[in-house]
Amino acid sequence: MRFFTPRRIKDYITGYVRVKIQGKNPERLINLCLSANFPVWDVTVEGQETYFSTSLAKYREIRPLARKARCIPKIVGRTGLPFFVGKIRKRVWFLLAALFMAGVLIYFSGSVWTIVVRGNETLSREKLLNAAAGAGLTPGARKSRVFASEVEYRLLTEYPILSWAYVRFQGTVALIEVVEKARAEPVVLGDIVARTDGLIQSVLVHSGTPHVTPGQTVKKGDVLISGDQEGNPARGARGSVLAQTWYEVYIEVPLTCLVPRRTGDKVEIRLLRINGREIPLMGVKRIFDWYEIEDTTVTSLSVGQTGLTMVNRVFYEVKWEQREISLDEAKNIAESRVRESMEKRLPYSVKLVDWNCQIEVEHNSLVVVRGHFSIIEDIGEIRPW
Amino acid sequence: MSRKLRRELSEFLELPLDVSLDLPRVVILGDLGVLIENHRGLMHYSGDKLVVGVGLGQISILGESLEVEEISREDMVVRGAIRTVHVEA
Repeated sequence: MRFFTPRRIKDYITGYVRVKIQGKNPERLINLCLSANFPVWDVTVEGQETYFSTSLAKYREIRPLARKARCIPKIVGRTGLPFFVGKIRKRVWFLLAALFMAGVLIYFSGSVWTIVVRGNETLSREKLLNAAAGAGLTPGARKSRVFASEVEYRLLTEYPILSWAYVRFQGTVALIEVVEKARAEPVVLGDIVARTDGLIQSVLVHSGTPHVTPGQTVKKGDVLISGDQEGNPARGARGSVLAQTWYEVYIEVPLTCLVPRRTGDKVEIRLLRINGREIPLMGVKRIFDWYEIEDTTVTSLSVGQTGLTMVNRVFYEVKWEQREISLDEAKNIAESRVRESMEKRLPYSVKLVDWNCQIEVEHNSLVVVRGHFSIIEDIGEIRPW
Repeated sequence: MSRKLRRELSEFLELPLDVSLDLPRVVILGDLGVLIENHRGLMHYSGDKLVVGVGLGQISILGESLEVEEISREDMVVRGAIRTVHVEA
């Protein structure tokens, strides 16, 4: 049956009944109904009985037709607004309670229940809430009486450290978002000196006198750009000095390594995970010195933003065992460690010029890798006067 | 006017035959349903067989879980697992 066609909506408003026909010739009654302009739909047969739906108004005229067709019609279901209103009339208190509850819900949804503050770093939440309370935004306040622009103005005028404030309502939650002004770092006056040894590639001076030229070799601590200490006002050196520098990474990988091996002993527990927090449901009697963990999710439930997961956790006891590794394996491990070490030491702003690895095997028990790499980086740092 | 003459006249004038000859129009929607226009009423109805009277005789629909979804003086929509539609003149 199609419930939401315009005709069905009209039938629902005017009310309709489900009729069971008992008799030898139900088809005749249906045909007579059609001749009398009865709206008929959903004609079905269940066992020996035929059912159909018709409008409430027309059903009142069915008796003579039923007599003519020698059938007995019987109402088995009533649907529609007239029946709903009839039911409600009999349950006045239920209706009143429902209306009262709806009213209460509407009233309380118009109030602020909680206030959430976001974006504050140095200012405390309490201070911001006090300022907001001064403009009428408190838990329990009516949303219609709180003007977001007033609260924002109050926050910005009371705390000039704020550069931006925004207040909005999400249901019954008032959300205060603020951005604090970023403080400029204090200017340090001094000379720019070499942080490390290197071969100068380029010198860019914003302020001060350069003391090096491209192609020149410098040592750690050499003055690259000097400021004007005697001037009035004194002016510190500013600029960037790019130089090629060299680094070495030394990695040793033994040809034996420790690997965990499970002893076969295990402990199983159940725990409940709520938003990343774990609550054990069954106590753990003992935990091994070394163990591996395997988690399996038993059941998972997500309600709004809260995730609830039942986890089965097994602790497997392990013991460490010496294992020999092949030369190629050791070389691969060593190379990957060299790369990791290089990546850690290289900031994003530098340019890698060249790199190579020297792999040696010592006493058939150790793989030694020396990685050399050369980069171009800014080697200047300020040495305060 | 005889039926044959009406038919020839309709064909000559290119009139729709179902209108001029009072014929039923049957639309079969795969095995899901049947729409019958210009019917004369239900003659027999059970869960697996439905017989509808039409101008030239009767139409039998055989299937499973047959249900008359909509029925008016002229149109009828039958739903269910349709197996056979048989026209008897």
